[in-house]
Amino acid sequence: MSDEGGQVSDTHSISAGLDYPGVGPEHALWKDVGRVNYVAADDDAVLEAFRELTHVEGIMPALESAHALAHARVLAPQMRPDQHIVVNLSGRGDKDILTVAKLDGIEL
Amino acid sequence: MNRIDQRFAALKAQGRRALIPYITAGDPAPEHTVGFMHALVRAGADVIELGVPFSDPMADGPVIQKACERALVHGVRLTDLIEMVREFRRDDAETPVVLMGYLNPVERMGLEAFADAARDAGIDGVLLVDMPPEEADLMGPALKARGLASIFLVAPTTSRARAATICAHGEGYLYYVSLKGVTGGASVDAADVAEHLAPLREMTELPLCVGFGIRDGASAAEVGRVADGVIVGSALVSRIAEHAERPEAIPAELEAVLGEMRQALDA
Repeated sequence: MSDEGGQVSDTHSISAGLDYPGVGPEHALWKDVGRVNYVAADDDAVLEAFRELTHVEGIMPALESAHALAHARVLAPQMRPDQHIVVNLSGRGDKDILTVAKLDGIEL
Repeated sequence: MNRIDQRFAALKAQGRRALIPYITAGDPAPEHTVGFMHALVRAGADVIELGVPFSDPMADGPVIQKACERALVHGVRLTDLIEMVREFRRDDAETPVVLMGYLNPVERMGLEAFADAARDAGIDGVLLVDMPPEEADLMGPALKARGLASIFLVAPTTSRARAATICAHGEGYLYYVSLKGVTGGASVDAADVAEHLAPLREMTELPLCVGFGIRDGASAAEVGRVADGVIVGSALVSRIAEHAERPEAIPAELEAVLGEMRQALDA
């Protein structure tokens, strides 16, 4: 991510692992050739997904992975009951509990 | 013959060393840069390296990082910098000017457009810190076709095989980084530099210039005994920072710092 002068943009993401203005060359290529459809999820949707998986399954996803879960929640209503969605939980969320607690005003 | 080659040929004939100052364009504000360049020439600059301010200058220490920040506050762009050189050239047709910076702004402007504009403005060479020689095939031909020299860095940790590749692609001069680290770091060790320059001499006819860690006349003279030129950046940029609120005082400051180095080099 950069401006029209090629200066790298400041970034914000609730997940530290995504708070970065670039992507690897594989992703750039896959996007360019249309092999992968890339979408975005905002912080609120990510936190909702984070909480839902934690409540329903007892699995706390990393905030990075919760971005994918947030999009699964968008896709699921558009699909038939016999279709499946695979979400790669790339990391676990216990590393993120301080971030989430802070947002909820909880002192740990 | 490119102005850089002409200057090094003249220096060689005179038995003198090149003095190469670096300043970041647009620091502390864009309207001062051309005046600073003329001040550097008055103090004895042989080549001017003009830094393209960049948001993420990964090879630079805090002094030049802050210079980039001061310049970027004014939204200085690569195109503005090219205009600065065009203005400089109205009064100075002889001093070679090298743009030093990072690949992002150049890629964003477009290589061909950049190379055309740089040539037309009177720029002589380009040093892109994050363009390895492996990728120089993308850019080198466009620059070469317009008479612009591609200048590369060699570090103390560069292997001989890699140094040979760099030498094969390099033009103008070879920029030897005197220490492991970023700009504005520890003082230079001339004996260590001499040891690293020796194998490079066997690989290339290019003048060998040394930068990183040269801060005064004494260190310039010491390096000048083993190198063809010395490059000084942070020592100048820190003076600009000190006087950023009083930019009218900066030309005299730059002349004092660089003038001392010129005298020491020529002594």
